[in-house]
Amino acid sequence: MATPLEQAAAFLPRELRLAVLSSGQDPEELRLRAGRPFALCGADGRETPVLWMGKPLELTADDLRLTLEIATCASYHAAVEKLCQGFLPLKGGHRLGVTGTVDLREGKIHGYRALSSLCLRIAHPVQGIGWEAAEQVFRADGAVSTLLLSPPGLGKTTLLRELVRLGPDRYGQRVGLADERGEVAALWHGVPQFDVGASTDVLDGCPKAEGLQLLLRTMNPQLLAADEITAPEDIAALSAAANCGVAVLATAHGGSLEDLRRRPLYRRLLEEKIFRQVIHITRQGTRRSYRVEPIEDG
Amino acid sequence: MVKCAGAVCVLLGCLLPVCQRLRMEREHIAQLGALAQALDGMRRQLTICAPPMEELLAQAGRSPEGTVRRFFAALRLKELEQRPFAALWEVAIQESGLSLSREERETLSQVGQVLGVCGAEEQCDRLADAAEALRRCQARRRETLRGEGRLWYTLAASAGLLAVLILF
Repeated sequence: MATPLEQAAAFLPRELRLAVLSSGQDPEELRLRAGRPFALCGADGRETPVLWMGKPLELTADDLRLTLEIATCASYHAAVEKLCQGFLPLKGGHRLGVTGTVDLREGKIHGYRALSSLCLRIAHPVQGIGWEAAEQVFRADGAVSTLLLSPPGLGKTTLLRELVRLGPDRYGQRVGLADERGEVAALWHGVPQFDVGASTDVLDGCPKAEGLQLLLRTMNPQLLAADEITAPEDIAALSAAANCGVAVLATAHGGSLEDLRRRPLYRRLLEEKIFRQVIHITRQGTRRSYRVEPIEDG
Repeated sequence: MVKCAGAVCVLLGCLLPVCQRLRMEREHIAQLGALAQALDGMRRQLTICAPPMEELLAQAGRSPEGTVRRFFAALRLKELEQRPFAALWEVAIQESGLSLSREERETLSQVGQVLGVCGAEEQCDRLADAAEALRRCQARRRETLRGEGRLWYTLAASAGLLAVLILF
């Protein structure tokens, strides 16, 4: 079975692919920039140039164009909408981000006239985390509405994915996932590229508010999940779901409950009493820990 | 009797090359029509639902004309790792045996420059222009065939009869 790096490198032109695979590294991102060396970005965020015949591999605009052609399978017209939203989901759960000169029409991005950088983010699926937290979410008398909370970059989406997976696979729950940005399940031609559980129904690319309502009406979920509450409409949709007796699982950026109470959007979230508990994600070095805190009234 | 058979053979010997030449020309005209139709089909699909290139090529490859089918089958998307789609398109034009004039080849090549690398609108425009240009070429060739065909048959038959008279 191909490693995540081998899967991601398959979207590169042949020469670049060989250079990456012979580097002996296991990066998180591949960075392609026109007129500059091809670079690998590690878990620590540092970039190292890819060497070919002992020298950094300088890339041209043609290298970037060919990479995009391979990634879209010569179907730019089918991929452009996703590209304009930020990134292109690829088979295997990997993602390709694009920057360059945009084609702007009436204030809206319609595509790219020229490419300057590509960022190929390699998916490294993580399983077996947060089992203790899962025990607090999926209880004997049913799932408990839970908010996953942490500052950016600490793995809220990864934990959400794992809880969504455990819901059906370990606790026999049917889950509806509103995956607005395609980051949790990463559907590829309808098939989740990450394991999100055997009985999880995924709605990809739909605004959360509408998506949650659709899932509620059509998929009869026992638990609804969504990533990143950022708008009042999201809260309204979560509230409607909770009022229908369906447990909800969502993520939010924040350091603590006090931090949430200081922000109007999240203060409303807490006042609506949608969630019964919060899972705080913290990190010490490379290790993450999950602390469950009940949300008290008041 | 032998002289009659000989005369017929001489006549056929003069007419057959002309028939073959004209048959090839008719096939060429049919190819142009089938190519134009395939490009039109791609444009329609792009307009309706902008499907992936694999699907576009599969649909276009269902052409009733054999050489056009071979052309689209020669477009192997797996080779994108080595060269861009425009280069694959050029290789397919060469490998498929399409008999195109310089103008027709240039028209078809220009389609390959935008397919799969531009937005749907640009691709549709280029496909429409190319289909129209190929149809114009087809109409010109048909007109030429009509005019010249009669002339060639007449010349060939005359040459054959002259040969028969001289020989027999």
